[in-house]
Amino acid sequence: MSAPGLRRTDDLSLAELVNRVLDRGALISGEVTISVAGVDLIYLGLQLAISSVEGLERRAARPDPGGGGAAAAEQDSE
Amino acid sequence: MSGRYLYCVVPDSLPAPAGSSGIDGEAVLDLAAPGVRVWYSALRERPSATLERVRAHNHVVAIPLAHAVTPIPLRFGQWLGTHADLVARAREHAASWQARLAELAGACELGVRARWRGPQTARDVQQPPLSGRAYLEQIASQHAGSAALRAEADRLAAELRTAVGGLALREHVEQGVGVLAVAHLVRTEHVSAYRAAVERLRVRPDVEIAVTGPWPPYSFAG
Repeated sequence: MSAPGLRRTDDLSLAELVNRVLDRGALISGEVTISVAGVDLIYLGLQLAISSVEGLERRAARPDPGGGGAAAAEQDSE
Repeated sequence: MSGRYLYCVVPDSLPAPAGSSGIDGEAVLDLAAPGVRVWYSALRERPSATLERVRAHNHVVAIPLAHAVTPIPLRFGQWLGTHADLVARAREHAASWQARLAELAGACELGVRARWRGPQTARDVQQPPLSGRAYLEQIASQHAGSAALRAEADRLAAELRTAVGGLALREHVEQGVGVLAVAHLVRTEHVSAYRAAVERLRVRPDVEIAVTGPWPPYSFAG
């Protein structure tokens, strides 16, 4: 039985992905991304995730004549 | 002329799979150095960070895990201007990479991310639409000085550490206002036991927790 509040959520997974790929991993060339548009990376993934969720909710609330799909979700997130 | 965009380092027994593609759909190639291979793509210029490219980078770095091989993930944006640079750098680092691969062999990374739902959340903010940064600054200011919130995060990190016990070989903790991100290096055969241990944690209903992974061991690659 899962503890209250414990669940896998796509938005937190996205935050985890962005945080890892941009802010961790070994360095060779020495150039790193410290923040994007002044937003610290631990929050950046979260901001993208929030945007993703909000973008999907907006699309769900209106008819989609052409079918946006994942590409549209990614465009909303960037 | 093209530079070399680097993804990861693997043991020399694992060449890049034929037909695999990475950033901007470019082929994933590999360079052999003593005991290791560096997976890379030839690109015209150093790519900027977009969500699509971040996903493409991780997609390549995660391929070795499907072959029961733990790679050394490289951070997004590792770029060398020429192939000669790549050859030289690979020879320079090969010995240390071999040692790191031996440390990471048979393991993967699992993440636990906790987010505290404050009085205002993405759905509760009544302001007109804000830029992403302004929105986050608003949330951060509302939690500023919240020593109690930070103490809760510290407490949750300690509880997590106790819950997973010896399953975590190494730990990496990051904390922001209202956010806790913990990474653990875990042997691949212990992934299910780790998840079960985290699910047994008692958490408050205003704390959202997610276990993610298995990931390549980004947090333990440096």
